[in-house]
Amino acid sequence: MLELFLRSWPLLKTAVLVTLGLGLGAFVLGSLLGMCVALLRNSHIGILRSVAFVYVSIFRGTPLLVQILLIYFGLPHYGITLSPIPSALLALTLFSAAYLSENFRSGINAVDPGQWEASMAMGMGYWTCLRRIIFPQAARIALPPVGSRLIALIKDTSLASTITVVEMTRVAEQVGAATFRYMEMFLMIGLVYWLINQVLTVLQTYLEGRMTRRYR
Amino acid sequence: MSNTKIKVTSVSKSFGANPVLKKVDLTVEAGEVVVILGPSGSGKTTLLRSLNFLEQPDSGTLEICGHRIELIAGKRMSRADKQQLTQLRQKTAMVFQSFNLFPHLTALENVIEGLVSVKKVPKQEAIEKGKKLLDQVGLGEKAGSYPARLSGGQKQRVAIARGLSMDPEVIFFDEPTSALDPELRDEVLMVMRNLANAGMTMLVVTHEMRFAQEAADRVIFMEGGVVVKNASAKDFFSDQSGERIQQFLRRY
Repeated sequence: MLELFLRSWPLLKTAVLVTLGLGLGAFVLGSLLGMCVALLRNSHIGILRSVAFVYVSIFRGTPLLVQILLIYFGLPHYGITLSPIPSALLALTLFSAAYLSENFRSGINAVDPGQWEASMAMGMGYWTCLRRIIFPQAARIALPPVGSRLIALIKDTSLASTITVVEMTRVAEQVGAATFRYMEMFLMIGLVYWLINQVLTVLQTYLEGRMTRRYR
Repeated sequence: MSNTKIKVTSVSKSFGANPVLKKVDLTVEAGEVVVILGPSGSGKTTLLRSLNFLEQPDSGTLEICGHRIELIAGKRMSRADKQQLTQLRQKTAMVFQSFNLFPHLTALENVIEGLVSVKKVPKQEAIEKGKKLLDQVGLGEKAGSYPARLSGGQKQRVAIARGLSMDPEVIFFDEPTSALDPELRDEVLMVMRNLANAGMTMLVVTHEMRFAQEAADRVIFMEGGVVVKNASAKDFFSDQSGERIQQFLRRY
C-alpha cells in the first residue's frame, strides 16, 4: 500500500488541495451567503422572509448531486458555461448556504431577547448590536452544528468527481482503474478524508472551549 | 429649557385586542423620583417600556429629555421620529428586572460598551470612567469578572453602572429587585437611594414599599391601564383613600 501511495502521491497531492479548496472555499462563501439568508429570514419585511424561505427550501430539499449536474450540464443550455471546478464550487456554496443559514438563524434566535432590549435601550443601532452583542453569543451556540456542516461539506466535495473535477475521489477512481487496486485506493483516500476531518474536529473543540470559558 | 424631563400625553397601547394602556398622562420633573405601583397586569411595566419604545405605543405624544414624538394610531413612525428616538434612548437608561448584562463581556466591558460603541468615546477614557462607576456601585474589584461569576445583586449593580455610563438624564427601573433574594435587594436599593439623593431623575416600577416611602417624591398608582392616583409619596401613604389602594397596600 505504501508503494502505491508513493506512486500516486503526485496526483493525490493536487487532489487533496482541490478537495480542501472546494470544501473550505464553499464553506467561506456559503457562510457569507448563509448569513445574509439568515438575516433575511429574520427580517420584518414579509417578502424578504419569503425569498429566504424559498431559497432554503429549494437548496436543502434537493440532492447536492442534482444541483451539481444542473449547474454543469443544465446551465449551458441557457448560455452559461462554467468549468468543472467553478461549477462544483457554486453548487457546494449554494447548498451549504441553505444549511448554514439555518444554523446561524437558530444561533441568533437563541440569544435572549433581553440582550436586544438592553442594547436598544442605550441607543445602539441594529448592526452595531448584531456585531458586538448578538453575534458573539450566537457564534457560541451555532458552533457545533456549523462544525458538523463543515465536516459534511468536506465529504460532499467527492460528488464533484462526477463532473470530472480531479479531487481525491476522482484520483482514486483513475488510479484504481489503471492498477485494479480499487480497495487500497479508496481506503487510502477514505483515510485522508478522515484525517482532514479529525483536524477540523480538534479545532472545533478548541474553539468551543475558548468560547464557553467566560460563561461559567 | 424647561425642567420637565418627561411629559407624556394620552398614551395608549394594546396587545392585540387587549388594551394595556388607556390614554395615560405622566409628567416627571428634573430630579424627581417617581415610583409606579400597581397590581400585576396594571400596565406599569408597559408604561415604562413605552417611554423608550421597547414597546411602541399605539398613540399619544411623548416628550422625553427634549425629544418629542407624536404617534397617531395606525401610522408608522417617520424617519425624523426615529432619529428623535435614538437620541432619546441615549439620554435615558434602563435597568431591567432580569439585569440583561452582556454575558460575553466582563463587568467593566459591560459598563463601557455604550460609551465605546454608541458614543464613540476613546477606549482608554471609557475604561477610566467605567472603573469609577464600578467603584461607585461598590464593585471596583469585580471589573474583570464575567456576569456568570457575579451574584444577582452584583449583576444589578453592574447594570446600574452600565446605565450611568451614558450620563442619562433619566433612569428607568423596571422592577430592579424583583429577581433578587431579600438579602441581595438591600445592596441594590442602597445604590438606588444614593442616586436619588444625588438628584438623579428616576422612574421606578417596584414592589418595594419601603423604597417608595423613603426615597420617592411621588407615587403613581396604576390599575387596568389607567393612573388611578398620582400623589406625593407623603400624601399617598398617609391618606390611603380609595378602597383598591388600601387593599393593595395591605399586603405589604
